[in-house]
Formats: sequence, C-alpha cells, structure tokens
Amino acid sequence: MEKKAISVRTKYTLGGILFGLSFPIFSQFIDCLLNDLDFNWASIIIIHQRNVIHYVVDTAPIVLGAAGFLLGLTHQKKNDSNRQLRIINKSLDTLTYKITHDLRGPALNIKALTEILSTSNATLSDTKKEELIDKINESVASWLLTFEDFMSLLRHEKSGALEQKKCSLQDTVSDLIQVLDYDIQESGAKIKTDFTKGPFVFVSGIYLNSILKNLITNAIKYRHAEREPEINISSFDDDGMVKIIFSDNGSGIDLDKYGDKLFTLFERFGEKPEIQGSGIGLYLVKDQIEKNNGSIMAQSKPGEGTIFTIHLPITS
Amino acid sequence: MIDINIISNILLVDDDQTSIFLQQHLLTDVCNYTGKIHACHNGKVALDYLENKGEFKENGTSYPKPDLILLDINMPVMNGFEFLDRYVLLPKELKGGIVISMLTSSLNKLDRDKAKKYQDVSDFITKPITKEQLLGIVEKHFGERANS
Repeated sequence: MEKKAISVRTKYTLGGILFGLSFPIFSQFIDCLLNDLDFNWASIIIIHQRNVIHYVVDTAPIVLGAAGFLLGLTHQKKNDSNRQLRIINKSLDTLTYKITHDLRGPALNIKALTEILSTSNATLSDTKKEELIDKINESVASWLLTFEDFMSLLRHEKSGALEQKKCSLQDTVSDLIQVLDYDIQESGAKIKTDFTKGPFVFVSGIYLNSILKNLITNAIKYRHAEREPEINISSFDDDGMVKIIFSDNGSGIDLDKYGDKLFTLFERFGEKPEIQGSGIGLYLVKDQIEKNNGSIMAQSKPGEGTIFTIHLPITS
Repeated sequence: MIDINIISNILLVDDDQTSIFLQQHLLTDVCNYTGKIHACHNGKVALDYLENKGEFKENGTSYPKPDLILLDINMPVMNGFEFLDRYVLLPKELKGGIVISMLTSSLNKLDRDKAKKYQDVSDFITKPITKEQLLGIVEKHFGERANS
C-alpha cells in the first residue's frame, strides 16, 4: 500500500516536470528558428539575453512539477481513504452477514422451541418438556455468548490510540487465573508459568490481558477429551524482544489443512459441534499483538497440543 | 396433503444441535415421519456418510442412501458449499436420486445466488423450515412415487 502511494505521487510529479520541460524547449526552438540560429547552447544564451521572458518560461518544469506533486498528493489521499472505506465496507458486510447468521440462528431456535412448548404443552411428556427447556437455556446462553463476542470485536475495532506501558506477565496471568477460576476448576486445568527470563513487556495492558485470556480459554475449551488441560507459559529475552512460549496439551489443530486460516476472522476448526465459538478469538489475538508491534506463530500436532510463539517489545 | 413416508431416509447436515433437534421434531412429531433420520454435524462427516468412509467405515454397517438431504451452509471444518463442491465429484451410484435442500438462518442474498449455481441444490429455504415447506419438497420431488 505504502509503495503504491509513493508511486502515484512520483508519477504526477514526473509528469509535471516532463510536461513543464516542453515549454522552454519548444519556445527556445521556435525563437532559434525565427532568428535563424542553430539550436545549441550558444544560441540559447543569446536568445535569453535578447528576450528575458525565456527565464520565466524556464521555470515551467519546476512550477508544473510542484503542481503535479500537489495533485498527486491529493489524489493519493483520496485513493487511500477510498481504499480504507472499501476495507471498512467489506468488513461491515462480513460482520452484518455473521450477525444475521450467528445471532438470528439461536434466536430462531428459541422462538421455535417456545412455540412447541406453548402450542403442544398438553401433549408433551415431562421428559420432552425438560429437554425443550434445556434447549431453550442452551440457545439463550449461545445467543448471549455470540453477542458478547461481537461486542468485544466492535469495541476492539473502535478503540483508538493504545496506551502502552511496562506490564508484568506474571501479574497479568495471576489476575486471569482469578477471573477464569470457574473454567479452570471445572476443567481441572493446570497452568504453569516461568517468566524469570523475560518478566516484562511494553504493551497495552488491556490488550495483553485480552491476548492471554483468549489463549488460556482456547486451551481449556479445545482440551483433549482424555486428559486434563496443562498450560505452560514461559518467556525469554530474544534479541531486544520478549519471546513468550504458550503451549497446551489440547486437541491440536491440523495446520496443514487450516494453517492459512488460523487467525482469520470468523473461521472455525473445531470438529466437535458441542463446543461453542464465534471464530473471533484468535483473530483478535493476532490483531492485538500486531498493533503492539509484535508477532505470533503457531505450531500444532492434532491430538497432542498447540504451541504459540509470541514476540512482544520489551521497551517503547 | 402428501404423506411424507413415501421417503424413508433423511440426512440432516447441521452443526447446530438445536437445529437438528427442531428438524427431528418437525419430521417425527409434526409430520409423523417414521423413516430413518441421520444427523451429521458438518459437511465432511456427511461426505464420509455418503461414501461410507471415516467413522462410518469402521463400524462395518453400510448406510442406506438418503432420499433427502437438508444441508446447512455455515458449519466448521466443511461448510455447505464446500460439501457441494465435493459432492458433485462423487460417482453417480453414490448420489443418484438424492434431493438436496439448503437450509440456512442467513438472510444473505449472495448465499441464495450462490446456491442457485449448484444444479444439485433443488431448494433454498431460510430457517426455520415449516411443515408446508417440507411437504412441498417431498411432493415436488417424490410425488410420482405416491402415484406409482
């Protein structure tokens, strides 16, 4: 994008200069012709002395070049904002599509389920009624979950300048372990940390919290069916950056198949339909890391676990 | 109205278990359908079911070919359109006679237009599917069975 923006400006400037050059060349050529002079440096100096207007005409390449530069600048700005608008439009389209689908779906389910309950209440067995009520509860929960995910996405897209500061990894994870206490207890997850070799990162505290929260909840959510989740988070000093290794023993992802889509918005890979998700988490993780001038990479073996390698800045 | 039991095997492809539950309810409790219903939670599983591969191969039984497939669009692993792309390539004996109706909660016109491009898709229905729509599909595609 940057490269193309420069070329638009350069093109206009060069065009202005070249067009500008044609003025002095043409006028001097004519003047030589009218005065019966050969077209060379000596004649050019002579006609300049005879007719000072040539000095003014000589500035044409500079003036037109500058005009071209300004025109290119405006044009490029317009192009850029158009491009940005197109990107915003496109993500709005996807978002609208996802909202209609993901929020409409559970809402339709709730409507249909309550209709069954109210229209055929008398003929339903107690077990069937219970099943229906369970399904309604599930659908409401799923609706809320999706709604909250969308809200976090919208909040993220709207958020302006980052307030970056020195953040302690250990404090952030300790806070999260308290916040996620219920999920951790229920799943029997063990979280081991070692931040001695890289205790601090220079990032937005809110983002760091969100990044680690998403990764920990994912590790618990996509745990292996036959073992309790184990999460290891450690950090190291790596050439001016902090390298964070986040590994789990979960069900893993087939990266050969899905690798290119792993961090894409609204993509999901879980083979288990009972696990809820909206395909927003890892997209946010990557985006938030990149907004803090960091990077993230994933390695995974299906059935064995996943390792995320994250690099974040150590200072501003 | 047509008796739905002129067909005897229906395949539901949807990742949303409540949707499956509602479709089963519509079939058995509302339309009094007594035939087989099999549910797959994504396109990949449905393809395995049709080809008798994957999890369906191991348990040894061969599965009857469905008369009707109700296919959702948005599913993880393999969505409805990806399923159709693969389905087209299946040998004739595996897909002959199957009617596919797409079922989605999306209101997007693009999905509808895209579905129209697939010759194998006979209907496109926005959820929830009603008794009238379901019987309409059966009537349209299997009506001659009732007469013969």
